[in-house]
Amino acid sequence: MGLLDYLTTGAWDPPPPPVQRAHAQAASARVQAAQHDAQTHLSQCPTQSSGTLPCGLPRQTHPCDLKDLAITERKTVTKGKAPWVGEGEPPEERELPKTFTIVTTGTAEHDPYITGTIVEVTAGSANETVKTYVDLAIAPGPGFCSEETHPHLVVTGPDGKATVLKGATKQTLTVFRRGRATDANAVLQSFADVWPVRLGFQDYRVSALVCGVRKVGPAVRSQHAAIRVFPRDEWELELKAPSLFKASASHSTNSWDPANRTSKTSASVTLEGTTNTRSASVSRSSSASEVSWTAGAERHGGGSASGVERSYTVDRGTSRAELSRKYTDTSGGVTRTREATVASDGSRSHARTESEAGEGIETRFSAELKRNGTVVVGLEWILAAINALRDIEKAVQDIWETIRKFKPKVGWDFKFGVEVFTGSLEGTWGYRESTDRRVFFAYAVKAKLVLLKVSLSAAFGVDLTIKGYGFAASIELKIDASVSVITEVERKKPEEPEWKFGHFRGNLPATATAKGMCVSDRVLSLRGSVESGFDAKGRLGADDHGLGLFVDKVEFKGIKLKGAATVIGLFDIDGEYEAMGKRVVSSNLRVPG
Amino acid sequence: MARAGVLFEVSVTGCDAETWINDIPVGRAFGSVGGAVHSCNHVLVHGENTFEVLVNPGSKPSTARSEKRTLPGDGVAVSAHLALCPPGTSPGDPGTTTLFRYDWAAPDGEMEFPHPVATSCALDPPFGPWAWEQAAPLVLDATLRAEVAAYLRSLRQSLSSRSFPAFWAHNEVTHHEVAVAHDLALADRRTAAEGALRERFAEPTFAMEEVDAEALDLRLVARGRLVECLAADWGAAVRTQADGEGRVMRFPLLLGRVDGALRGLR
Repeated sequence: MGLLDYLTTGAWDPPPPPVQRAHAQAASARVQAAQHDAQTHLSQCPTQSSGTLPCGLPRQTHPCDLKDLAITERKTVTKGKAPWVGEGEPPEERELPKTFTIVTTGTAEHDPYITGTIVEVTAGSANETVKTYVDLAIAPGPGFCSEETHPHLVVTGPDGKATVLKGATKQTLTVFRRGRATDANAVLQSFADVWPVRLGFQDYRVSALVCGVRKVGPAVRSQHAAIRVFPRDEWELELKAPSLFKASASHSTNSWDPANRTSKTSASVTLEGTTNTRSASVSRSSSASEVSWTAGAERHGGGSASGVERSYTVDRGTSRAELSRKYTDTSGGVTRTREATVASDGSRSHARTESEAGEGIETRFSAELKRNGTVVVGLEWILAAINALRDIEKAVQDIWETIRKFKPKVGWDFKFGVEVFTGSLEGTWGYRESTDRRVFFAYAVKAKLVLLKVSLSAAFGVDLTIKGYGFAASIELKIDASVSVITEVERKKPEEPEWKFGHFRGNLPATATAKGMCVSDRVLSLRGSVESGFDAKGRLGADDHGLGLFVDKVEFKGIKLKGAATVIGLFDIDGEYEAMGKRVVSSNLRVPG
Repeated sequence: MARAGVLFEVSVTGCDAETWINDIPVGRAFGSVGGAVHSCNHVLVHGENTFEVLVNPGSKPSTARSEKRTLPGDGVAVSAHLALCPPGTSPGDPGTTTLFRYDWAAPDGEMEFPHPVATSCALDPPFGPWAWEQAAPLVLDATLRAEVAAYLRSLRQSLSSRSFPAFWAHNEVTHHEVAVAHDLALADRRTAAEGALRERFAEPTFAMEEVDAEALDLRLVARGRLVECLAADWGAAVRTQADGEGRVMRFPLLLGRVDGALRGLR
């Protein structure tokens, strides 16, 4: 009887009589007894409260349950191609294939991120030939139900799409980790594009679902896991700098008497990179497996550069010999490279590349970035970053100019040389698979470079005016020191701090003497040391933005004298005289990232 | 134009030194800055002149020669260069005339300091003789100490009262002889000095330190004919209080007895 009937007819079924209610209660009791009987013989998932299982199938009365979920990782290539530049052996990594067994007592509500059933792997993007496979194998508990659909395997990809795989106990996934820098057409614009930390990971969520019925022990109706995929790329960077800037100059005068300019000046300046220079090199290496030699020659000048490099390699095992020639030509800011290789087995290869450098970029500077062993082109941003080092050179030049400008006052003698960023900086980085289920970001950065080298020999005078009296001091300033960064920082284990730095601090002290001067009855005598020189501090290491050399500050300490000015027979007055103020040469510089 | 000056350049390594010319201290040289250049004209005499570098002198003026210490001699060296220098040049510059050079290096191992390194040179300067050469020999006794203290207080008072003429009068012989030694017009020297001092007098912070007779560190120099009026910190006994920048102006004075009275002679 419906509600309408009830309202329009006023008639309704009478309530069940006591007999019927007694029958119903008896039936209910029988059901409860049957259920109790079933529980004593079968173990069903206690969450089932309806007539069907969560998967929609009728409640089963025979065992259908899970035991283990085995996740096996395979790769078509197990190792990257980036040599570890750090000290000793590269990070220890898991041997593939590797099986991780997930044993949990879970429900659908269990979050794999909480229950710790995350297996971390590395993978490339979809268009790469190197694949990462994940085999999923479900081991039954007491067995699976007769329905063909069990177990259910649900895989939810990073895009949120769920794929339900029914009935099979083994499935294979191909997982990918797409990254900007690994895209074929990606344009690298900054270090962030080659720093996978910025890309992070993607998760594939895996759930295995069954009835959750077993005879003995608690049932496991579902198991859940996450396959966390990190970019697999291994990166390798090598920066080499003969010198970004190398200059030397010498000047001298023989007198600082304005009325007696019998002085003579000699000067010589060499600016490598802007004048014609030639260089040649040859190297030979021999190992148990191969013998190789490389010879190269370069010419720079007039805004252009050209070079040729020949290398010859013989594999001792196969006796296969390979001769390569590489020609480079730079003009108008464009570098063209031709490479040709001929092997003793008749195989040949050749390649041409063309790259355009930014304006003013030091063409002698060598920067090579490899991804999985393959050279990556388009490094203008690296060169541009390194070119910023010229700010250091410019600032030091300004200091030189300022000292040189003392000349008109009291004469000078001057020799000056500066080198900026000479040496090499190497780095390797990428996600590595730990021997356990973790993936960690590993890196090593090694620097063998001279950040700043100053050789300064200056004798100059400064005028000081004290209470109406003019005084002069003769200062001999010598700096012949450098700030070297010879250190390495690496992370080889997931337990280690994520970001590490090796700090360096360099002091380029000036050996300064200042003897004062006598001009008739006026004497300037110096007391205490002359403060001058350069101070530099920075770090080598990695942070979440990149890897490399971070220059916190390079500072010229100025020139400060402590002394007393005396007018013979009258007075003397002491004090500090700042012949030249402090100057920040450079601050907050990152090379290259 | 001022005449050429005789300059004594002293380079020191691993030590400090005090330079004496004809037994008159002309300045100190510090190893931390490499040395000093001293102006000599006003202390030169006709005939033999002695040039002495007292290596590692005592801790205060009065014990500069007497305070014996044993120190390592390794690396201690002195180089001295006397030259006749046109105005604006230093010994070694073109146009200068070297009168002598000498070098001395301490032997390795410990040795006793102060150690005098001296030489002499015959000169015939176009000036002098100086008043201090004829001053009466002095005895540094209580009487002289009291007399010196009174003279210094008088000098201090002239400055404290901002009287330039009174200040000038306390050392007038020196002003005259220094002008002669350096071929300067006395009037120009006086004008420059007056300008500098009046500028100092006008400063609100200008104030003179008291002359404390007990704190004086007097010593006889010029073979006993002058008394140098210093404090134990090697600075002149008469001095201003530090100004806003911490600068102290000092008024060096060497007194000698002429015609029975003390007078400023350097």
